[in-house]
Amino acid sequence: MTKTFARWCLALSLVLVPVLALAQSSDIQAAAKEATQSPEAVAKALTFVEMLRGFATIVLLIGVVAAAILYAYQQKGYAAWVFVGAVVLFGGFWVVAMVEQPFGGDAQPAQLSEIQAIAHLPHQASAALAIQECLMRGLNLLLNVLFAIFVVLGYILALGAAVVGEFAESIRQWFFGLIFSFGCNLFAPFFFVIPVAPSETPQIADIPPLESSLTPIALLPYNYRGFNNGGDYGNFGDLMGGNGSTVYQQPGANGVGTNQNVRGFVPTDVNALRAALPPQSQYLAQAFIDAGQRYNLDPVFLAGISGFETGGWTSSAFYNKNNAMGISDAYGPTYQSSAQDSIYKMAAILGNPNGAYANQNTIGQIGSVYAPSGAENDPYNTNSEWASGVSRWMGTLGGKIGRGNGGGSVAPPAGSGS
Amino acid sequence: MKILQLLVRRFCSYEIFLFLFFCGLCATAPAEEFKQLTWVTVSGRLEVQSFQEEGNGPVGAWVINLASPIDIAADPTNPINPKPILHIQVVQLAGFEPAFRSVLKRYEGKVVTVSGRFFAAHTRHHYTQAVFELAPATQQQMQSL
Repeated sequence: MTKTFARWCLALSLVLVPVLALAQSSDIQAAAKEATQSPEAVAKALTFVEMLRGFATIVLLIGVVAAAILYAYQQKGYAAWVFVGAVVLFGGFWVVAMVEQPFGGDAQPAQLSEIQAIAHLPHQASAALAIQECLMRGLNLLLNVLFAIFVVLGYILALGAAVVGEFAESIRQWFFGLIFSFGCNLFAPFFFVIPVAPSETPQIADIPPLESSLTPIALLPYNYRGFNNGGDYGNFGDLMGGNGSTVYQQPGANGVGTNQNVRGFVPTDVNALRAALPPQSQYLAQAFIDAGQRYNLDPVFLAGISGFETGGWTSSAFYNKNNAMGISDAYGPTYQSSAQDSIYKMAAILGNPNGAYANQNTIGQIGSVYAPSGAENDPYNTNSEWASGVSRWMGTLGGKIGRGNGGGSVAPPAGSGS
Repeated sequence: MKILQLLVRRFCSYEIFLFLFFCGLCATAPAEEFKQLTWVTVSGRLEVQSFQEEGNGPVGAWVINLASPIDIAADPTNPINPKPILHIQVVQLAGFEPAFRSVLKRYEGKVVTVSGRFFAAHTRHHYTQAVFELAPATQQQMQSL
């Protein structure tokens, strides 16, 4: 009974594991995206594949452990029980690894309170993660070595059996070796690694209080002449008092300049900001200010990004997905629980002193990460326009709220993300 | 079904059990895992790939096509995308000035080893699931060569 069960488990895994591994290859994914023209569907399918792979792994482990126990029971030898121990040990390690990647289910979006809790992670959590990282890396190395040994061993056994004339044994070992070879080729891309230089920064750093990253703010006159060309999708026409046929000027001429330092909260009157925004986005004024204060950013900068990303709060993402900041994954704008929440989330990332924007202080520098420059053949020069577009929005909004003499400091010329 | 049962019984020796065990481990083994926002060095081919950006049509972006797929660990401090990123091979480059594109052009199609750090895509201008911020030192090095 146990033997039959073990064999069926293994047979099922034999079919599932390579198929699922193939399904996860980037080539297959790319082909699927091209064929279906629906990256979302492919992403959902991949989540399902990930879940199936987890199932297959568990089935495989159950089968192997059952078979090993049966084998040891039949052999009744010391070596057999060592084998069982090894199998159980490896199985245990792998369950730990699977827990780390729990079957690809959608994680719940973090709420503000959760973000705050995470931002004050205790050092103990960091140590636990570091230990887990060491274990995983060690296991990966061990498996590499074992895999190589078994491949070589399979062929040596087959060759040896052939030389001594054990035809049946030779065939069996060749079969064994060929499958190993096939396995190597099939799984190598998933297994062999890119060399990585030692990390120069701590693996998980405890995030210091946001207040510690406050920088002195020098006053700079805002230049808020003219109108602006807000988002690169959506059509906001004269929503902000323009006439829809405004001649847009070059960045810096009517904006605040892309060298504007946007770190540091700038006290902003909520009523003035509300009045400066078009009607459909006035309810966001308080969120811009609160998020700026919490994450040590200029609220007008947040409003400027929002204006640029939503085409003056006219985009489909803003109206249909509560997405006021252009928050997206690789497949496009994502649905947010509320427009205010999208502002808090983006501000949390922009203001994280250990985050992706930790080294960027000016609009231009932040733009190099927020909207990386495209290739020179980018027909719309979209991403290179981000900094100047946000700058223009800041100029316009700053002017409307009466920031004639302040709003940030001029940082040194942008240094390529330094 | 009878034939399958026969085949399974015929070929499921204990060596095969062992093989399947390691084979399964390899298939389910996570690819090399990188931490987000940690400076690392990776190798891959520097390419321009075209992506569809909502509202703007196709956009050409600089990417690194890595030698083999990688995993990127979850960043729990990221409120937008706190999930791990699994089995990716193409990452968009970020963190450089528009003028640096002429330097990248010199390396287009070549295998390069670059330093930088990964982070999860979170804006509509990020076209791959993870983005790689080029380290300033790497940019200086590429410029000087």
